[in-house]
Order: sequence, then C-alpha cells, then structure tokens
Amino acid sequence: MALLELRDLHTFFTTKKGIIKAVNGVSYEVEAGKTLGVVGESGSGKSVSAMSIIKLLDGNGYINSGEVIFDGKDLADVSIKDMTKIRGNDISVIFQEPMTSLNPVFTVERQVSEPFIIHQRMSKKAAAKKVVEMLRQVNIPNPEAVAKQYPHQLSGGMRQRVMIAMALACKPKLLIADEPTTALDVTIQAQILKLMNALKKENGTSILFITHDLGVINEMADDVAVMYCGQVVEMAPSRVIFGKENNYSHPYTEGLMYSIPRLDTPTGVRLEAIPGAVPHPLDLPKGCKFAPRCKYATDKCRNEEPALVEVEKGHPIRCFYPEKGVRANGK
Amino acid sequence: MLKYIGKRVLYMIFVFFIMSLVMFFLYNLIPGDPARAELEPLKKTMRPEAYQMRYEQLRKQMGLDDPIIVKYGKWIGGVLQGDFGMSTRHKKPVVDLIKAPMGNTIFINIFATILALGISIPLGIKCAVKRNSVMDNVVQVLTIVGYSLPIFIITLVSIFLFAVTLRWFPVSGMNTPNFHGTGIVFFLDRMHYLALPLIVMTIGSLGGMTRYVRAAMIEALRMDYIRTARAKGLKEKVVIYSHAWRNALLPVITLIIGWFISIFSGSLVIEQMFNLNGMGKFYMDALMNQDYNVALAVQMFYMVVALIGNLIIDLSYGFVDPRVRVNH
Repeated sequence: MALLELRDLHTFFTTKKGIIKAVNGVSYEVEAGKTLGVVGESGSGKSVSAMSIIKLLDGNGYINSGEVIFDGKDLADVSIKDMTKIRGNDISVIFQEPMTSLNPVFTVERQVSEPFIIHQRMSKKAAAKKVVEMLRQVNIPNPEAVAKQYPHQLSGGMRQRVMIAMALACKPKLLIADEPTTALDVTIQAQILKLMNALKKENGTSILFITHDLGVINEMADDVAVMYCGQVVEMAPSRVIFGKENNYSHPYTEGLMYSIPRLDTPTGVRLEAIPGAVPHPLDLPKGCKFAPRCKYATDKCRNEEPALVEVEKGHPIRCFYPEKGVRANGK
Repeated sequence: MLKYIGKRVLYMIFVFFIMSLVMFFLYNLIPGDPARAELEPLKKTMRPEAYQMRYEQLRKQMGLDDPIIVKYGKWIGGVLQGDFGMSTRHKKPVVDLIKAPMGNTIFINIFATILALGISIPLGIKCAVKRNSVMDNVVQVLTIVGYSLPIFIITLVSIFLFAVTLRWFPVSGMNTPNFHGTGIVFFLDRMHYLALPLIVMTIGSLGGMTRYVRAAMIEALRMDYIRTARAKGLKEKVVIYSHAWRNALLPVITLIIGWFISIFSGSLVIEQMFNLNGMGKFYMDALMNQDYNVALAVQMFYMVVALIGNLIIDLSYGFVDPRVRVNH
C-alpha cells in the first residue's frame, strides 16, 4: 500500500481577482521507502500540492476537495492544531532557500532541537546531544562547534544540511523536499542529493521530491509525476520516462526532455525550448491546458479537455495523442 | 566586546567635552547680567556710588570679568565634581534643586512607558497576526488618529472630558493641597492626580508604537523561516511569540530603548498643562527666568543621557541580533 496518496485534490486560493485553482484535481502516490519526483514549471502547482499535504498554505489557500491519505488516514480533514503533531514528526519538509529558511536569531542547536523537544518531549540537554548526533549524520564537520553557531556563519550547503538534519530529527515517514538543491552550486547539489539518498536508504524514509530539474529527478526518483497548470499530465516509473524504448509520452514531458542540454547533441543543433509561458491561473485556455504551447495541437485539443488515461500499465498520460510515433507523422 | 565598549566610552568622553564647550559658549552669548539681577532689590536702598562699588565687587566675586575660557575651566571643574553652581533665582545649588523634578519625571515616565509598551506591543502583534480583520482595521484607524493629533489637543480634550465634565480626576497638580499622608495613602493620592497625565501620555505614544510593532511583525511573519518553524510542528503561539517576535524586535528595539531613556526627560507640554513639577517644566522655568546655571545643568544632563542611551541602543542590537555582534 502506498504511504501517501493524493486523491483528486483541489487546492484553491481566494484573491481579490477571483479564485485561483492552483491544484485542480491532482492524484499521485508515494510508495513506502520510495521517491516520487514531481516535475513542472513554476506555477504548475507542484509545491502547492505538496504543501496541501501538511496544510502549510498561505493564509488565503485552502483544500477545496479531495483526499490526502497518509498512512491510512485522511489528512484533509485534520485540524491545524492536530496537524502540528504530524508536521516535523511524521512528515517533514526541506525548503528551497537555505539562506532564508533558518531563523537568523537562533543558534543551530536551538533550531534543530525544537522537533526533539516538541515531538519526543526531550529535555533541552538531551535534545542538544541529539542535535550533535544529527549534524554528524548529515556530514557536518565539527558538529559540536556548528551547533553553537548562527545561520549567518554557515555556507548555503551547510545550512541545507542543517535543514535536512532538522527535517530528519524525528525520523519522519515522509520527507517533502521542495526544490532543495535549486539554490545551491552544482557540486554542493550533488553532495546534498547523495546525502538524501543515503539517508533514505538508512531510515527507509519516503521522499516527495519537487523540482523543475529533470536531471535531478533522474538521479533521485523511483517514480515521476509531471505537472502542468495544477494537473498531473503524465505519471510513470522513472526508468520508463527516461528509458530509450519509451513509445508514449506527453508532449510537455517531451518538451522538457528536449530542453535539457546533452553531451551527445551534435554541434550546431539548437537546444529546443517549449515556446510561450505557463498561462495565468485566472485565464486558463479552453480544452487541453497545454494546447497553446504544443506543436502537435489540433482543433480537438483546443476545444476538448483530455482525461488522464493509462496508455500502458502504470503509465497514465493526459493527451489525445500519447503515442510518439503517431503524432510525429501528422494526424 | 570590552574593547568596543572602551572605545565607545572614550569617544563619548570626547563628545562630552566638545558639547559642554559649545553649550557653555552659547549660553554665555545670551545677554544678561546676573550681578545686576542679584543686586536689583538693593538698588533703591543704596547710594549710587555704594551700589556701583558693590556691583563691581560682586562681578569680580562671580567671575564675570574673567576671560571666557577661564570661566569655562572653573565651571567644568565644578561640574566634574558634581557642582553645577548656584541657581541665580532660587539661591540654592542646582544639584539640590533638580532632585525633586527629576524624581517626579522618572516616576511619571516609568508608569507611562510601561503602560504604553504593555498595550502597544501585544496590540501590534495581534493586529499583524490578524491582518486585515475588522479589529486590525479599527486599530489602524484609531492609531492614525492618535498619531496625527498633537498632544496638547489630546490633553485639552481629556481634561475637559474626564476632569471638568465627569470629574473623575483633578484638573492639575500632583497631590491634594496640604495633603499629609504617608506610604500607601500618599501613593494613592498621587496616582489619583497623575492618572490623567498618564492616560494622555499613553494615548499620545500608543499610535506610533502600535503601528511600528505591527509593521515589523508583518515583515517577520512573511519570512521563510516562519514557514520552517510551522513545518517543524511548532504551535502557532510559539511561532508568533518566539520565532517571529524575536525578529520583529530588531527594528523595534531602538524605539523601545529610546523610550526607556526618555523617561528622564520630561514632556514640556504635558507638565505645563497639568502643572506637574517635572524636568520639562523645570527647564522651561529656568529659561524664562534667565537661570542659566540651571538650564545649562539640565542640558548637560540630557546630553549625557543621550550619549549613554546611544551606547545602550547599539549594544542592544548585538544582544538581539547575532549578526551584528562585534566579537565575531
């Protein structure tokens, strides 16, 4: 059974200009001990769908309908008060910006010890010992000294390690990683990803990995969900998505793939980019949401909305023309 | 850290002497003849020659004919030993005269400051947390009105309302005339008289501070680390009063400490209007009566308070914000 299952989740934001449907009927699953990678451009609803799980939404955001089944329990009905017992304990989060995600006025020790104190009712002293242990686990050199330091005395990579230590403090069942390496150097990024994979194996933690970087997904994820305009447009095991003999794909996934620079691309060939931009959530196109940017789009695409259909087992795609060979040769 | 404080203190001493020099020279530019003022009552009873002789003698005795730098030397020498000279009006040492109004001002201001901070900080935080709610909007309107009204308008209106119409509080003064009580009875009587000035002072300072706390708090609540704190599973109370407030404190601390320092300086307007014997009124009276030794002493006192206050504010920054601590 899946550890986490989103079923037809709708998360909306009320604004002065109208209701923004940031997440519009999303379903995905995270298997126990596995990593689900969620990919998509900014504004595709990937972060909002993840934050809906622990109700960490901005003031005007709310879950309109749908279920969030975590460990057999629907979290969509849980009050914020009860949610505080789950946050940081069963489900933890690592955020994108290590530079601003730590509180500048508290020491590392104070911040990392908080989960121990609130969820495991440890004394400050016992928690402080655990902090050093955690910092050592995330490969921070000289953990005793770093524990007494303030965030501004640490580098970006170190801060992200501290964030990971804090997130993993209570050995959560699920770790939500919201673009954890986007703000880091490539070398540091590789170290952090390696660390997360090692910790995942060690603790059996499931990871919901959110990113816009397909390269990172390839390295991290067992399964992949591609999101566009608040909907999942394709879902498959990552070996299928990245596999050479994959016959089916969503044109958006295809576009994302083509837009990655490759070492074996012949010289002189231009990098292909998806034209246009993500439509404004208050002004969504009729029909398939991706149609205006899709090079294969037909009149049918522009007028009717495709459903998420399983083209082969465990591989649903939201497109009228999921077969690569067919759509490439014209309608 | 100690080195930093030492440096700052040396710098303060330097500024102290420069300022004392400037102020002394400025006060000496003011026309006036203390010797003549002193002898004025005797003028009619004495023969002109005897009066003139007495006058010359007194000028010499008071050191009025000395070069200005010698006068400064004598004065600053006294000041450093705690002797600010005599009040020409009251014929008493300035130090003895200043004790009562300073005590009163500190007493009033401590109450007003604690009241104002005690109301404005929680109110500002509440408004920030419940931003754009009905309560927040009401407070926003009230504080902008309070902030915009000059203090003397608030004073006049509240005297009319609470003292004249409702007769809850006395109109002015600090105690019932010829009051002979001690201990708690005396304190209660005094508080009855001071209630209205305290209310006015609190209302006057409420608006600005509440808005300031609210703005700082909204800024802090918007930060990424607040989301992190919530993601950890901290209760909303801890998130607000510990994680957010500690950060909102950084811009507010200057104001708060500034307030505590200002408890030494009286309010000219309020003390005049309620006829309270405080520093503001004391200073004003000294200036009106050309009692320059007193005025100069009050100014020197304010200057020292400002110098020490600035040092405390700078040190407090390091205390609340680890990023500006000087020892790293």
